[in-house]
Amino acid sequence: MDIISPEGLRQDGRTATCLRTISCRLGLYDRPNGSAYIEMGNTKVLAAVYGPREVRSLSKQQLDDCVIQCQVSRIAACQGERVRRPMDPRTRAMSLQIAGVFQGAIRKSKYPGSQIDIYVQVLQADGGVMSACINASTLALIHAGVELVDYVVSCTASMYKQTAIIDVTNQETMNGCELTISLLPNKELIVSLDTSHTIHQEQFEPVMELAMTGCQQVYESMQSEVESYLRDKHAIMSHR
Amino acid sequence: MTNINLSDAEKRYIVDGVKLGIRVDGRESLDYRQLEIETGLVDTANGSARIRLDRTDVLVTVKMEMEPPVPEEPRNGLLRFFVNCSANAAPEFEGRGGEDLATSLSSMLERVYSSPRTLDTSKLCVVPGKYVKVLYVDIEILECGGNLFDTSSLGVKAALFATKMPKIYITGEDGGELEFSVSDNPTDVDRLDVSNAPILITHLRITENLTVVDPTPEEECCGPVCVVVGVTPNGFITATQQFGGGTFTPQTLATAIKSAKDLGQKIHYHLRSKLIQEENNVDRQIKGFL
Repeated sequence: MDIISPEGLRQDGRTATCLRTISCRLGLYDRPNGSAYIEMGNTKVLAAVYGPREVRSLSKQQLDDCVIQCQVSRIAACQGERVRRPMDPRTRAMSLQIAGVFQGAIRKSKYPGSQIDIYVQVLQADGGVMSACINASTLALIHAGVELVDYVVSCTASMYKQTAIIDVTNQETMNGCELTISLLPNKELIVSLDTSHTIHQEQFEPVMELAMTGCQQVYESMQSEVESYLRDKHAIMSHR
Repeated sequence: MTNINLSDAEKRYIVDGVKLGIRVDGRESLDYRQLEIETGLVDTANGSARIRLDRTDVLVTVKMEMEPPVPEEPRNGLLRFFVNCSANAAPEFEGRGGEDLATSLSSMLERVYSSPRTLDTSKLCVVPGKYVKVLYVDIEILECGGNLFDTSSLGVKAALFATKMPKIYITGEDGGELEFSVSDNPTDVDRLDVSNAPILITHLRITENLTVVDPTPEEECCGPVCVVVGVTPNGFITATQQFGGGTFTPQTLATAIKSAKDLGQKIHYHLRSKLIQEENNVDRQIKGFL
């Protein structure tokens, strides 16, 4: 089946440069210091942040720096086929990658000798899982009040027969590459970039540019949600 | 179950309150906290339910697979329970920290559903001796706010009620191996009869001969022992188990089990009526986590 029909529409009715619907929510739970939920199309991810708090194992403590750890887990029903092991090596590699992303975004100098834990739960996986995890973690960190250099927003893109497509679903990445980029939108700095499968060098730039514009759109959605949350909590006192 | 540090004064406060018949949040000893249930959140599963009991949040998903049956029971399908205590529920569940709790919960649910009266597994048979339907029930603990056993069992019953298994037709035989076709039609489904499915009721003994139902995490720190009772809508007790390092006098245990039976029947009735009401609501918008 063609990923893009002759009319230029994808299987879910989007055009090549259209993002999926993003819905997010901050502050679902009371026990974690910060929690958030994000839906990017059919990919649904829950994130919780515990910290800054005392380091659990003293051997890992760094007196002048903050320890940032991440653990991603998938529920059994997140894909069509039942997932037998919620934490397989690939998911664990994703956890390490996400921890690395936030090493660059959290103002670690403000929390010396402490630990910040990010726990992510993938409830439904339909492409762009790493992006959704990063976006949910950013929202959870904001809810927890952890100081960040900037939002970290992430988006995916791919290439199908000379057309660059944005925010790909699982089916669209079956035979094509999936490029995931995360950046600091206000500073326009790239925090992480990774691709799967192969992509031609000439096609690399347009795909990356498309993903970056996608990130800006994701940033707008996330920022409006954070502002409405703060307004509900009466944390914004001034008018714009 | 979760590590909460309470001072001796706070424990005395809770215990003395229970002796006077009042709990910290104003409930009586047999009152449950507010319960919210929603089914059908997860599209990729055959059945799903999310249960919130105040601060306890559990997501239950049911997935159907076809496998060879157990040799001793060639005509019966299987029900398998898996519990995953996610790290966002409590930080001590990180990595393999939640495994003990997960094991005790899943084994309790297996025992409670092991009786043939609870669920008719012969309806899950496809080809006797060769293929039966296996229902994998996965319980995800999202937030731990006391009383996990009751919440999980309510979630399991709701998820099983909402489970839609596509009908399987045997289309032919190819060299000894049977060929199946699974129906694509979303309305061509089999449902489970959960009219006898049990739920668990937890009685926590706070002091001497007084027990409370649906304990909060603070109350769980004060009580030395609790008994978990599995009750069916008909009033049958399918399993009981004690947790914690403490003892019961025979009279307290008998009273606890009897009150669990009465309470269980009431809860079953309300749960069933609400689930049917939810199902009949045609324009229902699934709220999910938003």
